[in-house]
Amino acid sequence: MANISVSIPLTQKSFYDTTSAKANADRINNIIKPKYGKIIDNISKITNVPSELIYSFVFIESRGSETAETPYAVGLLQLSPATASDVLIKEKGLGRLEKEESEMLKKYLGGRYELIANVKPNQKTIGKTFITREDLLKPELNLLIGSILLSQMINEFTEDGKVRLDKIAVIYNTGRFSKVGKEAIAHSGTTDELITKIPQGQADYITKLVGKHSLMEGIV
Amino acid sequence: MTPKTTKGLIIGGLLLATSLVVIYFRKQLKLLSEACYYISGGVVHALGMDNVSITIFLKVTNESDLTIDLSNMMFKVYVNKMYVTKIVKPEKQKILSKADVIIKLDFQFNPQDLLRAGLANIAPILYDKEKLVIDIKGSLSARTGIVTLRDFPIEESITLKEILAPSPDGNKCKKKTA
Repeated sequence: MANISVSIPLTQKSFYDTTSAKANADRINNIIKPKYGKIIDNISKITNVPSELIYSFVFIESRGSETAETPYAVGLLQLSPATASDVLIKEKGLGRLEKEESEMLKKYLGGRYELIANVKPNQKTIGKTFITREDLLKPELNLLIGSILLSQMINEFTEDGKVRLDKIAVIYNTGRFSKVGKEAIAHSGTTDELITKIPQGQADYITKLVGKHSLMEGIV
Repeated sequence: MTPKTTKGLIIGGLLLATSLVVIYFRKQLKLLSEACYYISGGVVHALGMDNVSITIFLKVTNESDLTIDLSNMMFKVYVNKMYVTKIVKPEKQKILSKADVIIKLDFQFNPQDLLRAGLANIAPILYDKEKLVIDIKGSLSARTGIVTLRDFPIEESITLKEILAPSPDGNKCKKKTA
């Protein structure tokens, strides 16, 4: 990657007012950081995803609860076992799985790591879900796989040196194969234009993440 | 030479080698922590009443003998002391030993937002380039194979005039302040 950046806010629209923005920052700094700060800093270092972005997604997805579960997703970054499996296969296929990431995965997956180790260049799937819901309840593993997913999205959705965190927010929330996800991927206009085209839930996700008084604006 | 003398020489040699390695890395760590930076220039893409778009070039020099990876870069931008944007760079930039790298900081803002936030009058600062002062405050991590310096502070203040016509004297390398 060469000199890419994101300038925040991406839109002047806001989901949070100043009072709730302060409360959010307090929760991150006083509850989430003391509990997961060391893990997040380390994962940020090895995946190269800014720690602020990881904190923001953790806050939106689970409010910092490692036991958060829905029928579809689990843990701090609310991943599904199928998505988590595909993310790791894709990362290995792209040749981007770093040594420290591999070591961490071996620690949690044991013999299942072989499935990743045997992936061939450019392979995107092995047609098998090998990450379990129990795996994703482990904070470090959940944060590692979620951050790898974010790094893949940063790589994919950087346009003219600008990271489209608005698109990443929508796709993280709905998946790339949903109608809204496809619409976000194809969108070539501004963040404000994207917000007007998509349902309120995803528009809110964008303004929570990168709007005025957003999480990305408020941390640090 | 007796076995005892040989053993003593080996231990002495190992201690000396270890000390030299420690001294070397301490020196490199010091140089790393003193990596310096300055704003080397910039480009103004737009300067209007409803849109200002600027790219600033922040030059960081690595004076150590080790290659450094810069990461976790975050910068807040203030115009005449008023916060306008935050720039996050989700990438790693490598600086080879005794070399430098240019970090591009792109940002834009709507001057009307500054008016709404309490600035009395935007016109004089847009049209008098000496009166438009940009402050960059942020941090980054600098990492070598064995050492990571977290939250390396970056703090620079520059007028629009200086960005557009940097004076050679103004390009003084600024050391870490903390």
